[in-house]
Parts: sequence; structure tokens; C-alpha cells
Amino acid sequence: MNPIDQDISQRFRNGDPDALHAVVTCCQNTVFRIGLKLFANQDDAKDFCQDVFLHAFEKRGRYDPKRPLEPWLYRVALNFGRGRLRRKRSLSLIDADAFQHVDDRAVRDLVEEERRVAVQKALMQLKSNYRECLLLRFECDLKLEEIAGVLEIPLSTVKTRLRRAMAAFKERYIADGGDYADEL
Amino acid sequence: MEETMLMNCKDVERYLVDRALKIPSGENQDALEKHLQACPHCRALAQEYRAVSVALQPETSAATDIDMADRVVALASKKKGTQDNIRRMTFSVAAVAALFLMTIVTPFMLSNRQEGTTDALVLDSYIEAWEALSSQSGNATGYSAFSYEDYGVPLALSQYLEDESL
Repeated sequence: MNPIDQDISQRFRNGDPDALHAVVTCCQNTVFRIGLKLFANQDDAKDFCQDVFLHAFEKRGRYDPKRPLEPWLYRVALNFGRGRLRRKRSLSLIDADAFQHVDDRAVRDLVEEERRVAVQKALMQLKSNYRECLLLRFECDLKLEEIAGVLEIPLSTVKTRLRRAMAAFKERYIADGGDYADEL
Repeated sequence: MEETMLMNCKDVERYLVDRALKIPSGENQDALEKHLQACPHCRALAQEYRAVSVALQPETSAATDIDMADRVVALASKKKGTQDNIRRMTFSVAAVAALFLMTIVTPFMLSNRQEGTTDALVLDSYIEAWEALSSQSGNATGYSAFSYEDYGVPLALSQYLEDESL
């Protein structure tokens, strides 16, 4: 998969559909996985992923093409996810049943699915700024400096936040019996 | 448990967190391993952080492979088309509204309102002016008072020229 170069970024900014295609092809799996972590099921994650790209394309005027596109896109995804989670919570759509979702593919690997559910539950119990830090670090595989850029916070704050987030996540994950590492 | 092999448990946990986060922390690997061997509490902690780190890794299963580029591009184009249509319609509606507003407002703006003149009176005079204008339009405004006599044509001849029955 080719990374997004400055030419594609510039064309994306100008509204070129081919550039949008290239951006989606490059980033869709990462954005989808963020969705999967946030919403715990594939249908919601797919909708989220699609909407994030449409939203980003609509708001492309706010993107500075001199800077890398991916971090900006991930920021859009996180903001978008935050809003959608808030709406879902207010509509009480997230409940215990939502975490029980097991689709056909996941049935083949129940341990994997259980781990995913446990991770999602633990993430949902974190403060949103902790959750976002962990997603940017693990799902988006961003460097600490890039996370600082995305969240517009100092590097030292990123480190502190990540450490606290990791400790908080571990407490919740283990408390929920989410220690599946040995089983994989 | 504390102060085992020069590292205390608090330090060890910090190193374990950094390791799980893949943040280089300049840990003393030997001291850390020795502490872990000697301290069951930290060993259990290390295992938990290992499990957490694995759990947070991106899923690379086929279930997470999606291809929605074509669909997103098609939807973006469709959305753009709809937005263009809405923009065009909004412009047309705004233009009609502006014209309508001008028609309503013009009499009040152009009239030399005397004190005590009501809006209804202004409108009445405006309507009268329109009616007068339309009644003149059949005679090609400005030519209704035309007379051949004004140009020295004899009366009999001018009557002949103005006779519409001919």
C-alpha cells in the first residue's frame, strides 16, 4: 500500500476524486479498526469508516496540505467517533447486548472475539482522552511526536497521558477477565 | 518485594508500562530481569502488561480488511451533486424572494411620504400609478398626445390621417 504523498494530499485538498480514492485505500483499514474499537461491531465500524472519509472530504478546506494527511485524518476520525459515541449513549444504543455481538466470521475464533469485546469494554470505561491516546498509539501506529501533533498537546503530556491510560486500561481489562494473551 | 536488586516495584511498573507502550525508557534490562525473577508481584504485573499490549495490537485478521474506496468516491460525488443542486435552488429562491421583496418595498421607498400618510394610502397610490401606466401602454406611452396639426398639417387632412376606420 503506497503512503500518501504530498501530491495526493494537495489533490485531496483540491477535491480530486482520484486522490480521495487513494486516501481511502491507504487509510481505510486503520480507520475501520478505530471504529471497531469504538463501536464493537463491524457494521457500525464500517458505517463509521465510510462517514469519516465523507466527512473529511467535505471538511478538506480545513486541511493544511503542507502537513501529513494521515494525522489530520485520524484527528477527524477521533472527533467524529467522539460525537457519534455521545449520540449513541444519549440514545442508549450501547448496552450489554451490544457487547455480545458475534458475527459469523468471529464465531470461527471465539477467543479472538472475546478479547475484542473485553478490549472494547475496557476502552469504553476510560476517559476519552486516554482512549484516544491509546488508539493513536496502537491502531494508527503513530509516533509520540505525531500524537502530540494530532491532539495538539506537548510531547511530555502525551507520554504522561499514555502511561496513565495504559495503567487504567490494564486495571479494567484484567478486572473484566480479559487476560487472553496466553490463549492466543 | 520492595528494593529488590536496586530497582523498586514502582520503577519496575513504570518500565513495564513503557515497554507495553513501546516507549524507549532506557531501562536497565539486567536489573529489570533480576527484579522480575525475584519479585512474584512484578512478574505477575509483567504478564498482565504483556497481555494488555497484545490485546491492544491492531487486528490483522481478514475480518478487518475492507475495500470501500469506490463506494466512498461514488457517495462523495453524489453528495457534491446534491449540494450543488441545493446551492442552485437556494440561489433561485433567494433571487425570487429578493424580487418579491423589492416589489413590496419599492412603493414605500420611492414615495414622498407626507406626514400622516398611511401604508395603505401609499399602496393605493402605487396601484393607481400602475393602472394608469397600463392603460397608457396600448397607446405607446409618450405618443398618445401626438397631433398632426402640431406639425402644420391642415385639420381636414389630419382628421383623415387619424381616421382609424380607413
